[in-house]
Amino acid sequence: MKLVSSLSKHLARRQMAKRFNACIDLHHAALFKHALWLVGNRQDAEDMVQETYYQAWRSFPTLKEEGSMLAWLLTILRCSAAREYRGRARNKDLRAALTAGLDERASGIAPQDMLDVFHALDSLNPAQRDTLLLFALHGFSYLEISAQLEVPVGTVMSRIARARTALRKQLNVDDGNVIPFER
Amino acid sequence: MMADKPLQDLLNAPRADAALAQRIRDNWRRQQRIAARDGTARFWLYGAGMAAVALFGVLLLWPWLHPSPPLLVVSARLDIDKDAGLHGGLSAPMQDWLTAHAIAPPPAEDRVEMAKFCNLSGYLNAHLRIAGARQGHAHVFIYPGSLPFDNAHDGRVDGMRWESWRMGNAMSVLVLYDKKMRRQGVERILQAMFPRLAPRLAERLSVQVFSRPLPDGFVITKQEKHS
Repeated sequence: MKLVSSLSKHLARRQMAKRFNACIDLHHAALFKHALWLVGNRQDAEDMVQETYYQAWRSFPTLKEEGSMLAWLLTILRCSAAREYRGRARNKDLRAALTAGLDERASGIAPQDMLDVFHALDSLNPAQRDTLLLFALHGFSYLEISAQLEVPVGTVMSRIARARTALRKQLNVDDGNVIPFER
Repeated sequence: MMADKPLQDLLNAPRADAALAQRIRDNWRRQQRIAARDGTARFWLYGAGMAAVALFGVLLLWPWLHPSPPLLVVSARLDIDKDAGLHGGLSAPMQDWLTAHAIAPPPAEDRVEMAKFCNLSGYLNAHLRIAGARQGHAHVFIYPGSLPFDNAHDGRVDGMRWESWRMGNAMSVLVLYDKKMRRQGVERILQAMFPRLAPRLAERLSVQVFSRPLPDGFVITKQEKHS
């Protein structure tokens, strides 16, 4: 009886590890980008992702809805992992950190634009920055962001609007099409 | 100046290292191994801690669980070792002394190997070493008065069992006997020497029979400690 119980536990654990592996493959890139836009240092961003997954594994058995996995991981990243890395010295070569592995010609993205956006994001307050990243980087809806951040939808909308205005001001952009938040 | 690329494309532009997923997986597995090892270490550490606490508790309670015998008994035990080489049986002066104190000699089958007067912590005693009828030895110390036994009546001292008896203020008897000597043998000797002790001897050796039925002819006995 004990053998059957331990065997079923072992199998359940293996199954869970398999799901967790898939979760790493699926979401590590998105988490890395989020972390990189927060800290501007590839090494720290990787460490943050690593720490996020480590903390996630500890609570993984309690996770019920797999659909909200990325939102859940981002919450961990934002709440605990990011706390450790906030305020650390940034990579001196910010341009290299942001553009490593990027094919400028194929993507049509200028490194200077990325630097400008990073500095513009950095000038936002943390609440606006988090909301903007969830909206523009990960494509969550107002409602999903509202649930993640545990704030009313109206607050999400106003944060995004203020972030948009601040970014336009920072980037000296007048044309509304330059920063299209609508997808 | 930012080009006319949507912000979403810009934010998605950074590329994660190709080996990042594998590194995360490797580190996660390593952490799991370490956690498992730490868990085992913690288990053993907890076990060792509990064992240490238990040992400390036993050491703390030891004096209460195993009270040291009265000084008189320790003196008697030392006297037994000191006189181990003496022989000579029941001498005439000792026989006279026993008669004078209305003490009968032990049964004939229990031979008195040695009898002498000795000083136990300032009390002058008669010490008789009696060989059991079958095996073992009993040492009977008799004091014509009241000996201080600190309310202790029996116990063990250095491989021997001891019991004390007091007959009012007129006489105290201390018996030490080795492992080979049976309690019934000691009882028989004391009954013969001190007939007044007979009812109390029987009282101290109570018999308990287990409720579980035993095969015919088997009786389990247990000696109870009386206060």
